[in-house]
Amino acid sequence: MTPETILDLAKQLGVSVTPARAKELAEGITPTLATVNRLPVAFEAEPEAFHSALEQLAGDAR
Amino acid sequence: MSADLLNQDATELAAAIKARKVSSVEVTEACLGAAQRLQPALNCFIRIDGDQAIAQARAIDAELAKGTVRGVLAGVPLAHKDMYYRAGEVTTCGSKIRRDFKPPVTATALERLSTAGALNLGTLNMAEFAFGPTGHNAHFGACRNPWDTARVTGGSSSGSGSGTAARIFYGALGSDTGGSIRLPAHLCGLAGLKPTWSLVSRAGAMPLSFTLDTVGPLARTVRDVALLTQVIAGHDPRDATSRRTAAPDLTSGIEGGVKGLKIGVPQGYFDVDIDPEIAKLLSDAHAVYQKLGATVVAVKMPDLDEINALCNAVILVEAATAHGQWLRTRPQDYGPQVLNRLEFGMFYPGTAYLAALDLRAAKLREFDAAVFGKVDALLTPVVGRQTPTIAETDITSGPELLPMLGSFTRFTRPINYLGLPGLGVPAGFTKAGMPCGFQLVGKPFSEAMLCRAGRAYERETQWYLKAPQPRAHAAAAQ
Repeated sequence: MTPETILDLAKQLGVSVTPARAKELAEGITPTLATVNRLPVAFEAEPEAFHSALEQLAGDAR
Repeated sequence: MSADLLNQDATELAAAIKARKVSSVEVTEACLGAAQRLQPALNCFIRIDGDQAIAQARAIDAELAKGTVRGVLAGVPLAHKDMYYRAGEVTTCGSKIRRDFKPPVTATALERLSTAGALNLGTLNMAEFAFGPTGHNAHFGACRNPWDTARVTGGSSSGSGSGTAARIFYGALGSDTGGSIRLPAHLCGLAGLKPTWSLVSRAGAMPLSFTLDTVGPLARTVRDVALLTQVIAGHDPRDATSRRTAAPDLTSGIEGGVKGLKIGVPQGYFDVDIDPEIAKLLSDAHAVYQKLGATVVAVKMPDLDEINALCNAVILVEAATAHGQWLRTRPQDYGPQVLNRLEFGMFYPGTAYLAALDLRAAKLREFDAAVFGKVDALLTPVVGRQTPTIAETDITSGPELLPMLGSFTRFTRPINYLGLPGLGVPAGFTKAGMPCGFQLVGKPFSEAMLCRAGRAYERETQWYLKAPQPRAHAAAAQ
């Protein structure tokens, strides 16, 4: 994520962002994106699987 | 008489009102007196609804006189974070943008508390749109900690923490998306329960991040948060995400003790950058659990920095999406810190957001195997630093902002991403006289076990009996 990309996106989204702020935003987002992007996502993964996992791992009987 | 009444916990008070040892009107008048006296120093209310509370108390007393008990909280004064909708009444969400907003519906959690007979003293200060961990609010002013009014309460449920700790009311709803119940509980010396995701209905609660938001209580004792959670939990057809089961029984086994339980002490992540005084209080808590018959076991943590990053992607994108219309048309109406944070979420790629959602089940399974394959509950710090002052954390932009925010939420936020329950338990005081707590994390829907473990500790240590004297610090607020 570069400041230039953020400035372009901001224009499309209709929000006001200065070049200095675009640099701050890019610096804040990049480390998080780097972490997320290096984690492999299973081909079959889907968000709803989380709800099943909660139920399967439930500890309310203890 | 007033001080004795106000120092009881909700469980004790409910029993006294039910037995007609004290009237609800008498208690409510004492609470309103405390509210009027302490509001200038604490700024914990956004609105005090005194007449309404007295009318509710009179109705409860009249029912009791006829032998009718409305519910387990009959006559107990509470107050709630100003993000729970009550049809036709202003709900500000701690914001300028919703300063005059009158919702058309009432939150399920509020309805259930009313059905149980609880009274409502007013609406409570909070971080703007529940998006801040310190207790600052650019529109309504910072909420102040009753243990030292120069210091932060924690947020975003700041008024819930401050007013409950100050003995103005007996408990409060907070909400927890990244730590917003557990942080003010820790910093104000209270118990607080972030329930398992989906256990408590979010219908009629202001959204921040629909994947992570949870509704739960803060109170003076663990047995109170168990009681309050039991009242508000259970399936709600108005919330499509709510678990399709009845409310769990969190109170009948709560005095059962911890013999045979395995309590985990994290190795890695939760033991980094901990103030030595806080580390000592946590170590003392381990010893208490051992004395009570639990086994304390070291547990190696999986990579929680990854989970923190995934959580960040989810909360920022969902918050920015919900606020998109106002970010475009009314950016000047946000406080600077909230605007600053919301803007980040507008620029994440959709693939990163969906990856963070897709990975949630796998990360939960990994964490469960690594931790709950070995122990029943994990005992972690809530915040690793000493309680800072309001002035020290009044940062709205620049390179110091994100590290400052992270220093509050580092230990709470991963638990939201994993959807797990987290119980905040008071664990003593630092040399500066500020409260410190710990967090007990359990498997999904293990709230009954967590409350039993928290209750065993509080019964042994009785930190909850110590009350702040906020009037002594009132000058600091001026």
